[in-house]
Amino acid sequence: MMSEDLKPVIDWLQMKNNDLEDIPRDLDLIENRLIDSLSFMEFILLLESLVARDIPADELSVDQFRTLDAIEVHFLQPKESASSRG
Amino acid sequence: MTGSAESSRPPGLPRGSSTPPPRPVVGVDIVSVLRMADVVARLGERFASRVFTRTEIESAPPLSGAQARHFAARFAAKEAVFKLLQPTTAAPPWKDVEIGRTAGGSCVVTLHGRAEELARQRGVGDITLSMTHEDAYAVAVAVGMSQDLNRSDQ
Repeated sequence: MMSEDLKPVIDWLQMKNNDLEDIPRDLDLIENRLIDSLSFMEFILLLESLVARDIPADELSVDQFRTLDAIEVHFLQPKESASSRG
Repeated sequence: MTGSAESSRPPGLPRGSSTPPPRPVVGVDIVSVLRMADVVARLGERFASRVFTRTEIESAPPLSGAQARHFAARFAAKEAVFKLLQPTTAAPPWKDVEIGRTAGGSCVVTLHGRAEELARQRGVGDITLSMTHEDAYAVAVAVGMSQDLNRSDQ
């Protein structure tokens, strides 16, 4: 089930990739080129607006953006909930 | 003992030398000028200040079309350098690779922070860069020599 928090992310990915109707939560967004190098920074800025905090480039790992599941865990869940998952 | 060391000498390595010769490394990238123009128009300083150094921003021409080509070429150059350096985990921040020009117009690559450290690990010294653009695309090629002793494909 899609979380409401993920909806703007999915909307953005669908807007950038016109032929895409459904994005599986475990789909590799990098390998499948849904996010390329130029759109990566744009995507970070989108996430920053969603979480209302800066996401410093030094802290970024591609794996944190690799799937919708990873994005939700690393950026869209409350800090306590994300950290409790280890 | 000497015979054993000689028998394990890589092909092309001078007799008596214990390190493999440097090998060329290359990176290339292409960026859509139209996409860059769109991103800069929509996100402006928010985008530029996260990707480009102050010098790269200040050296951009004022007209939007030329500005988009300037940023597209430099973005392609940064990505080409990343490909040359072959990071195994996360790529360094874009601003760690700074693209400039000499008074004569030649491209100059200056590495900072994690990119500089990665180059040291890879045994990459000077990086030679060439950039070009047309209306629609900007392309950059980066070439260097690597003395990386830990490469799996040596």
